[in-house]
Amino acid sequence: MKTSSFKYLVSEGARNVKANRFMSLASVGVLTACLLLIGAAWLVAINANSIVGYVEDQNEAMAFVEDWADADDIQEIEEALKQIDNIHEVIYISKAQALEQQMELLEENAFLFEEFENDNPYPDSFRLKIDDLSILGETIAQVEAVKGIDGTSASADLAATITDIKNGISFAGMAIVGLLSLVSLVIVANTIKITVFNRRKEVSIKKYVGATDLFIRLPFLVEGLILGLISALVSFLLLWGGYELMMNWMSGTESSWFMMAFEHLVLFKDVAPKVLGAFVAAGMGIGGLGSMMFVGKFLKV
Amino acid sequence: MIHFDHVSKTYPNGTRALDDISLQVEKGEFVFIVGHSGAGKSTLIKMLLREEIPESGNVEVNGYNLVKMKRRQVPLFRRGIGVVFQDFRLIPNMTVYDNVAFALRVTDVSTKFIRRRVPYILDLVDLAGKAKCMPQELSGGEQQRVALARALVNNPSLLIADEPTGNIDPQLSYEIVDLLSEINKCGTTVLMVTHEHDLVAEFNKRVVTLRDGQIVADSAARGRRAL
Repeated sequence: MKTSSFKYLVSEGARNVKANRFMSLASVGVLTACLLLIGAAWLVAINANSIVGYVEDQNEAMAFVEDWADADDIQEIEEALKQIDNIHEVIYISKAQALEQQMELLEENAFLFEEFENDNPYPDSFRLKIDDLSILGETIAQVEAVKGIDGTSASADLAATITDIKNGISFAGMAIVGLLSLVSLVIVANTIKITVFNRRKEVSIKKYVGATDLFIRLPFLVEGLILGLISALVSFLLLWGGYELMMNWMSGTESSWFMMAFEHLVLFKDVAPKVLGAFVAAGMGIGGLGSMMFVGKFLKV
Repeated sequence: MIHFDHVSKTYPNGTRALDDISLQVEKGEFVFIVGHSGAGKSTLIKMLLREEIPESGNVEVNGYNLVKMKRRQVPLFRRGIGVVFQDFRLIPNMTVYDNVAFALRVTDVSTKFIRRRVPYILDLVDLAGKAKCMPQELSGGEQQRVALARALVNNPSLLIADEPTGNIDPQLSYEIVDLLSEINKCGTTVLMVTHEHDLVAEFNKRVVTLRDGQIVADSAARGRRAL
């Protein structure tokens, strides 16, 4: 094929978007609506995950040191704890600090503990911040295996609950996005089918004149790609606008729960490239593939 | 130019559209194909354009064996044939100019050639002033002339006209057949399907009559007989 023919076919595709503007509008509308739904569902899912992730970050375990350990031993134990993958922070709390903290908690009754200052019953300990709660059990076992560790305290129930919530959100989010994608694909496929069906006469005329399949398909492909790109850009801008509106509304509320959640929402600019990339790929992929697929049906003249 | 050799075709619903047809059309001839609806005229045209393949027999058109032809050879074969249909079959969202130019564009010729050739052909069918019109802005007769221009623009050796006068005024019908006649005089083989006996009577040409899928009469010019 000559360059001039190729140029003609590409410009034909662009011209067809305008020439068939009502069907173009319908296709862009349907594709945009589908992308928006999927995008919104995804944003809800990652935000829920981010909030749960914050709660998870607050989770700690305590590790207590054997009485015989001296300063050098404690240093060694701290190093060993830091080697464990799933622990992202190790904070040392000495016997004296532990007693002090307890006395602070007792406020005016603190004098009851004064006699312990010479005979401190609290052990030296470490406060451990855990990364992934779902493997808390294994991590605790690793901690207890460190020489010099007497015992641990960790809330396994809370950890299990948070892990369950997180998995639930991930699964529900994936299921909803998957389901919406499937429904969208059916709707978009039907829209493209109608568009191409409306122009089956044009396809058959071109065949009678002696056009090759490629010559007929290429403008449809270009048209599909353009409509997909437009849909991607429109839905990206709408999603962005909608998200900012919601953020604005949330930042103005008095509810402390909302405030806590708000602090940990994902910022749109952080996910914007990902969203835009996914939208453009999905829009152009569906537009291009869809138009190519359905034209094929009418090429057998 | 056209060789039908014992061609038969039965559609899946059991209709026997063509029944052992043999027909020769030589280069430069002008042939009318007449017959009632259902006589097999449309199937004959579809065979000529390689839209249908016979179940038995052989078809050769313009040097191509249509039975043995591969699918990818079809476009090249069709470029050598001009076709005009009863319903014009112009692309509705293209201008008159682009409709005619399209037949050239598929052949991969240069833009420069297209710019010279299309106005020339439009002038030939007396539509030079309508190049920028859309098909639906034209009368039936004008649309048919656009279709004729598109059929001629590739300088085909065979022109097939399927009821070209079916959708236009009777006086204009004569003009169209006149035009076909002129084209024929320049060496193009013309095959015209029609059921308008007045036209056939007016123009003294070879007439092939189809009935129930068979050729029941084939009369050369002058020695023509009535149905």
